[in-house]
Amino acid sequence: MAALRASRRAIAVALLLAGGLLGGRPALAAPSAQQVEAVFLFYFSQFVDWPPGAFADQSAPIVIGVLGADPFDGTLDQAVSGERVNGRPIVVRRLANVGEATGCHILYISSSEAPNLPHILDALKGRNVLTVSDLGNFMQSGGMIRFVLIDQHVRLNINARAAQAAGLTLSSKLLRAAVPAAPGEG
Amino acid sequence: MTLSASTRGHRSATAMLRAVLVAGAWAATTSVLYAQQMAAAQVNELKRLSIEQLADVEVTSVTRSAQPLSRAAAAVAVVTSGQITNSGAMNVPEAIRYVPGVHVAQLTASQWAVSSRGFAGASSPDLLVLSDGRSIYTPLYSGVFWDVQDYLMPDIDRIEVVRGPGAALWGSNAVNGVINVISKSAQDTQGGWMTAETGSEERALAAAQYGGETANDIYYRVFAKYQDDTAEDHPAGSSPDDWRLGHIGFRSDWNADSADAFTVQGDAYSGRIGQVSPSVNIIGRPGPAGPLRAGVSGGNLLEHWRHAMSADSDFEVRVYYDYTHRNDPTFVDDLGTLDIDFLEHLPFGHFQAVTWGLSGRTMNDRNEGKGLFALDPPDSRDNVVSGFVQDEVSLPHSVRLTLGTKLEHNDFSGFEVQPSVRAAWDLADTQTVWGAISRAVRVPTRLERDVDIDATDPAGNPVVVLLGNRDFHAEEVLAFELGYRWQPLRDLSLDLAAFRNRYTGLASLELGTPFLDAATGQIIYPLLNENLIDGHSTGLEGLALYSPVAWWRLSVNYSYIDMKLTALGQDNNRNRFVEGSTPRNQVGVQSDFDLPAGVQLHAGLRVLSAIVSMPEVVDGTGDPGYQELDLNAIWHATPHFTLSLEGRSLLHASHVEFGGVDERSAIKRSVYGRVTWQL
Repeated sequence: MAALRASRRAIAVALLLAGGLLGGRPALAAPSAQQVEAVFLFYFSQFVDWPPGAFADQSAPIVIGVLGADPFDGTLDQAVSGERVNGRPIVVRRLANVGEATGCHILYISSSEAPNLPHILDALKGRNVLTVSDLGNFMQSGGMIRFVLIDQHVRLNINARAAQAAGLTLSSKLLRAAVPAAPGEG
Repeated sequence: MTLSASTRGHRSATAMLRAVLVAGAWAATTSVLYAQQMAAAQVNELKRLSIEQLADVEVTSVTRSAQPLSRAAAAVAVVTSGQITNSGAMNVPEAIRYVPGVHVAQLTASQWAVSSRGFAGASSPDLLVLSDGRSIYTPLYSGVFWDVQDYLMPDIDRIEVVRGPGAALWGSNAVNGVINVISKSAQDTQGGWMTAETGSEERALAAAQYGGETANDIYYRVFAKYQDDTAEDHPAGSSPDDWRLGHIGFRSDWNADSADAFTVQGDAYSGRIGQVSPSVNIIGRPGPAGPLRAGVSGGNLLEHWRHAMSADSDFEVRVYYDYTHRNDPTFVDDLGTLDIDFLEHLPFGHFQAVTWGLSGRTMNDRNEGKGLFALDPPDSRDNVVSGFVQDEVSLPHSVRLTLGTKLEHNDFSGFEVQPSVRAAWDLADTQTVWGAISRAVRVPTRLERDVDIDATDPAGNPVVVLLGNRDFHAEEVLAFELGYRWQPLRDLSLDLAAFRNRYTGLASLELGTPFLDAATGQIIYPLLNENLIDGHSTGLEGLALYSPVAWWRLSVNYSYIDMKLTALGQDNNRNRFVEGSTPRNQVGVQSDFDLPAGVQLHAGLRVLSAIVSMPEVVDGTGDPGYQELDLNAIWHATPHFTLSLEGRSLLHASHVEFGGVDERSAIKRSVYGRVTWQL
């Protein structure tokens, strides 16, 4: 029994060495919430219809703006790199204030902008911009899509009416992926 | 002898440890580079998922995540809550009908035969079923009482089905598969709803739920459900199989801080189940008379705590108590189960992830026969203690190796070792090949160990007695699996799995040595369970998913199995007939449409070849194959009202799915209407 235990430990150590020295690819760990959100932002470009007037021409890019501190650490750029939606390339812009959001089609409002949220949403009224954020009071404030972390899953709260008011059409597939906002957050 | 071996082992381990420290320092310097490469790979991986799947990805916040399914080194399928809603499935067996490798057959209005990779039967002994980690497999006989496994279907987050041995992680009885029913977090079911349903096979179904949040961020839901089903087309002269069941329950979830998450949940149910035939039938001896109805009740309380140490390490503790009461026409059974599980995930360097766990379970069972059937002794307390360790190692060229074993001690068969080796190789971003070799066991049940039934007139001499056998040991499988997954297009994915299982020591009923019962003066001819059937099975399973446009999804599944069993003894209960109890070929096609105006349509077509033989039928006659069509239409009329209309088994007035002629009903064509009101 003792011999068995010792030899088992040796096997475990040998395996560790094999992994360490040969330089294999580490197992894909779980993605972070930011990585999943970055891919969601890319998907929104496919599942939202903007009015024709939102683009300069047929091949104008879809612009995703990140307002405030960028939490994505480059993953958003990776998510959209080389991708085209209906022939349009996708570009990511980092913005310091909402005044620079002109020309954005999707605007991600970082948590760093919490104090300015009412002002930001006010400034975007009547513009064809899909607003997205993690902020807790985003839905009450009139935001369109909120990322909610539920039980280690990134879920979506969607206010289709607010999107409609901004001239955007959300696909049923996107709407189905949403979960209802908690009471008092609709 | 032992001492010298031990010393030698210790020395070599120390030398190895030194080498590891050097390797660790080297690995640390390259870790930043790895982190960047990993992030890019991660994002590409996520982009292979649909938007709905993306919402189902577990992310690192409180815990490690599950590996993406497309990369797992096992035959795994997941039925999502969206698929359950679309199909209109009313219970778990219906929800998994279209999982390849799984055979689901309805015996009566409330009874189901659910099996994976063969061994279909009213009790499917080799399939472990867990509900939020709580085992619902009964140790009384091998199997699950599906008639009391009631769920509010909208509360199910997903059903994971692992075909093949899952024993290294889950323990005994996961010989041919594991079904995990996972319910939604209370945070995911906020708000209230009510639903009412009626149909040709259902007098009424009513359910209501409310989900809310307390001031200190504790989310909860409470629900109640009542269902009353009419009888199916039961055999002439038999007892009707109508049934009814009431069920209340709750779940609360609390993310105490970024590192700790708590769940407390519970259920209670009570009902009355009509049976077409007695649970125990002895040829030549009279069974219970009058309508056959089982009174059932039970409940459970489960607590789960997850604590994260870091982004990729955490531990979980689960404690539950489960109580079931069953007043069957042939026996009364009361079973209490207390279970404690501990599980920890730890990274081990950059290339290894270790999972280990300990589990203890104690089962208090009291079973009193009503004349015909008896367990001796009627009371039994049985304990199971087990531990497991699993190491996932990443090797060069995108190869992942998973080594694991479970060591268990149970009061039925003693120590059991259940190891497995799994390997997966990503040929490309869109292709994975995997293979596995594993050993698993099914431990004996109380029925096999403690049964004491007179098979002939108890007053006669001699008398034949069905007796438990304490020397009956666990049934064993050695499984070889191979699989391939390919996603040639973003809209098209293929999943293939093949297996070869070798079984040894399956149960068969044998005539033992006659002996004299000194107390009564009778000569006893004992019939005992012995491990005297060997055999093998070969199978192939495939699943193709295709969604060329956003509003249409198509899935096609196919399962093939060929099983050969050889009786090495007399096999008096024809257990070898189980080789023919699963259809050799099964095909399923599901098609889902999202139409304008909030309408969703679902169609499911299933084609199953004949059941060739089953132990329940003496002369080995089986049941014919069948094809059936299910349709479901859902209309989201307003944000608050949803109407649905469902048709089941529409192709025939009635059809037989499984079971001996006297023991099953023909399942009738049926139509249901449902209205749901969201507050």
